[in-house]
Amino acid sequence: MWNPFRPKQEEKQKRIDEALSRSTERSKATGQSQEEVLSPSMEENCRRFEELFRDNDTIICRKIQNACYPWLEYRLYYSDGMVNTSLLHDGVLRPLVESNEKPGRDLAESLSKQILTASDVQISEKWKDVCDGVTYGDAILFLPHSSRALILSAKNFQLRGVDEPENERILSGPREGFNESLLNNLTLIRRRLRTHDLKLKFRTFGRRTQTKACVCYLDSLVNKNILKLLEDRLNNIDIDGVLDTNYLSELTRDSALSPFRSTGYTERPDVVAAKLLEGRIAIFLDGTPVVLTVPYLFIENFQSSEDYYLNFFYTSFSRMLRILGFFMTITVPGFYIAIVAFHHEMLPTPLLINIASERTGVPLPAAAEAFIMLIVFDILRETGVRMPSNVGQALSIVGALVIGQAAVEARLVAAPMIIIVGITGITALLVPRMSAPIIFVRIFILIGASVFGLFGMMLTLCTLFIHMLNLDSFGVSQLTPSGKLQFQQIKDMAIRAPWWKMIQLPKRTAWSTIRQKTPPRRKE
Amino acid sequence: MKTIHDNPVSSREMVRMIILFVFGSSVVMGVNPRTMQDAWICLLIAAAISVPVFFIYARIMHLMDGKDFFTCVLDWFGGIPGRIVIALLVWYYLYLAAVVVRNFSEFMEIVAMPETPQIPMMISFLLVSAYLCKSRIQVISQWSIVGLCITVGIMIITVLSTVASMRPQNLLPILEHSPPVMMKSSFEIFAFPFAECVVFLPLISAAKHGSPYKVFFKGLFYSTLVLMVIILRNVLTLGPQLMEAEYFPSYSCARIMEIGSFLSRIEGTISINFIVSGLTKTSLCLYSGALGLAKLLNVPNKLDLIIMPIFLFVLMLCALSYTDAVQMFNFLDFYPFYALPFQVIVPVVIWLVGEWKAHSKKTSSVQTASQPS
Repeated sequence: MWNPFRPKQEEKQKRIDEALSRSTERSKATGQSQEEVLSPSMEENCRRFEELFRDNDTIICRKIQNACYPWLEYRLYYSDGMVNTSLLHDGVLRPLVESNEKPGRDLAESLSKQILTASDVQISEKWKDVCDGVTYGDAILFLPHSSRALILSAKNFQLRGVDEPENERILSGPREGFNESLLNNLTLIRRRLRTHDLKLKFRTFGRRTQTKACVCYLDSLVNKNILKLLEDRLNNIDIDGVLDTNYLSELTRDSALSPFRSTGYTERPDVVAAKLLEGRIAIFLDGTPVVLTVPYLFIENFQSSEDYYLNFFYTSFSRMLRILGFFMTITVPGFYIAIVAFHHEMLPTPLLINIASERTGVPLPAAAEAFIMLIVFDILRETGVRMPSNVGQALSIVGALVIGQAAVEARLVAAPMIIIVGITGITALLVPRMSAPIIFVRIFILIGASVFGLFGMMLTLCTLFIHMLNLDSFGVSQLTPSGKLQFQQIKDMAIRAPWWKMIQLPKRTAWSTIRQKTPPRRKE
Repeated sequence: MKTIHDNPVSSREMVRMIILFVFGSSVVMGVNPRTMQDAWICLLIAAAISVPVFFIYARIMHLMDGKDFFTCVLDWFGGIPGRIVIALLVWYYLYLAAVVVRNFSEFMEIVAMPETPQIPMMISFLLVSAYLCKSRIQVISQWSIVGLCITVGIMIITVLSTVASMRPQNLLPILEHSPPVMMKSSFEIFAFPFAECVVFLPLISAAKHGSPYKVFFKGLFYSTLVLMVIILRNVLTLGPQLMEAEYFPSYSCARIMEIGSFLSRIEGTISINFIVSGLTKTSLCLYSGALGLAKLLNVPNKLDLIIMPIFLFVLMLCALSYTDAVQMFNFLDFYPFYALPFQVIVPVVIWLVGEWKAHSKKTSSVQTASQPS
């Protein structure tokens, strides 16, 4: 069959194949095959090790000889700066040098069981374990005439403390936050969920970074189908490096081109614990404080951990404000343009006259004006995020005075437009989780409104809504609960129901649905 | 895994879709205004006429026993005649979609944007409905839940805010028109919008639970109710003469609306109704048409691929069907006669053949069962 695109595709595929084969050849040359084992000669092993880590001056070699039995010569390798030297000294060096016990037949076994006092000692005969260990702060002990090496855990890195996360501050509730250490983060979770039901499965991502990750869930609550889907997708990942959980998020998401998130992210252990309790799955990654949770429902964009720690009237109100904020921030510019440019009659006459008099002498049409002002606002916002904190004042002067007041007085921009952009910008801050989709959706609606007025705005809103209905997160529909609408399924959406009303878990995420068996409250 | 894409549509959602579908263009086009203040009687008569027709639709679905509509038609009629029947229905669905879109664009041009050319409006409207259609029936059903809430909500608001200008004497004199005129008008209301539910024939099987009778009759009942409210509101507010003279009575009705002295002239809001229900109607038509065309071309799994050519075809039909709005409104007089074969005759033929097939199957199975003994 004739296909004009075929040659191009084939050529592209060929190029990809070539690049892949080249890279695998290179990795064969530099690295080692996964299953290669150590040789029985210590000199041979050391030569091989030094060859692998040549031109890496942080690797330190220490030769050790036992005082009583001089034929017992060891070599200890470790990466400088990543190990706790005092621990190494007390737990490894001193026993090795000073021990006067005659080691048994199996040197590795008797060393690890009788002589070494370090807490975590592993025996391995694989080069892969050795290399992984030394790059992650373990010390490697090569033994004479043995094809096995001891991997001694003596990790010691400089880590951030357990601080409150900067971008998820709350008024009341737990203030702990994750840091960059995987094990520390898992500890924070295990301290909150003290049950054997909590499963923690390690896996590794990244051919070059070898980043450790942990998939974590409550076995009796998790939806096995979602878990299987997630594991399938994680198994498919083959990438050179993974530095943040967002890599995993984008590599596993359902609708690849949607601006909306399909995985939740948080830096707060209490949030992760709460989500695990609803049957979600958490993915921890070493080196980042951000933890992913799947599946992600659309309403989670508007939920905050504080909603559950404060009075339910107050938090229901603030949640509705957030939803309203989302609608306002995407529609206000478009609505203004539609009214000013197409449907003047909808405004009360005095307001119309005011706006018209403000707009006289402004050179640009309203739509272009809105577009430019929104871009300017986003420039200011982006500058505010990235700039050093000591120039903040200059920015606010430029933002407020020059772009606000002076532009209006110079008749470059109409005053109502400044108000509109202000409302748009402030309401966007209500839902920080949606900042990415908001920008695109807002512009999309603005374009619709400036072409077809209110009708265009409605059409674009409908498109947005259809898109949101189409969103899936790991096979779960994000926006709407499937099936019949029940109170227990929507109790935590637009409002936050009081805790004594939260009897069931959300069906979309949890396998079993009973949350509490507290006897129902009576009216007193 | 329970996603909405695997879930069968519930019969309740199907009923909502039918209401929104019937609501569709009639919310703005107005229900046939020929009989002025007696229109509500005609509506009741039309609903009564619809009962046997809906019974036939439901009976067809019952005979198909949850199987795909077009597959069954092919089975029952055999290759060539089956394809002819499917082609007829597909033509009706797609042309209906084109008519709805044309109504929309004419409406927009007349009431709001006289200088904007219609083709871009048609393109954007059709693109959105093609997108809705491409998202599959499950999404359309979820969409119609929200859509129905919005449209009925806005309808209630318009009714409440026009209460002040309603005149009960507008309903008098009752039965001013002669029976033939009344019957003709009822027949027109039957053909547009009730019997357009023939679009649902290929879609009902998406609802796995619940009987098709219930779905169709609940849909008929509630949509009659909604149309009744619209007619009464228009008659009571505008009066019979004005209602007959206006192209878009509902829109003029909303123009009268006033909430305090601040909110006035909010008739733009009523076009939300038209957009939401019009989108539903168009995309349901496109969906049925696409299903039929896929069966006709024997590519049942290429629905996404088929939507785009259908979109272009409907766009072409839409642009070519009328020269202007006057012609469009004149066509409404002939529409019942054009639609009758597709709405009644074709389903009746399908029904009869289905009954015959089911009967012969039963007798043959009885024969095969009795043979060994």
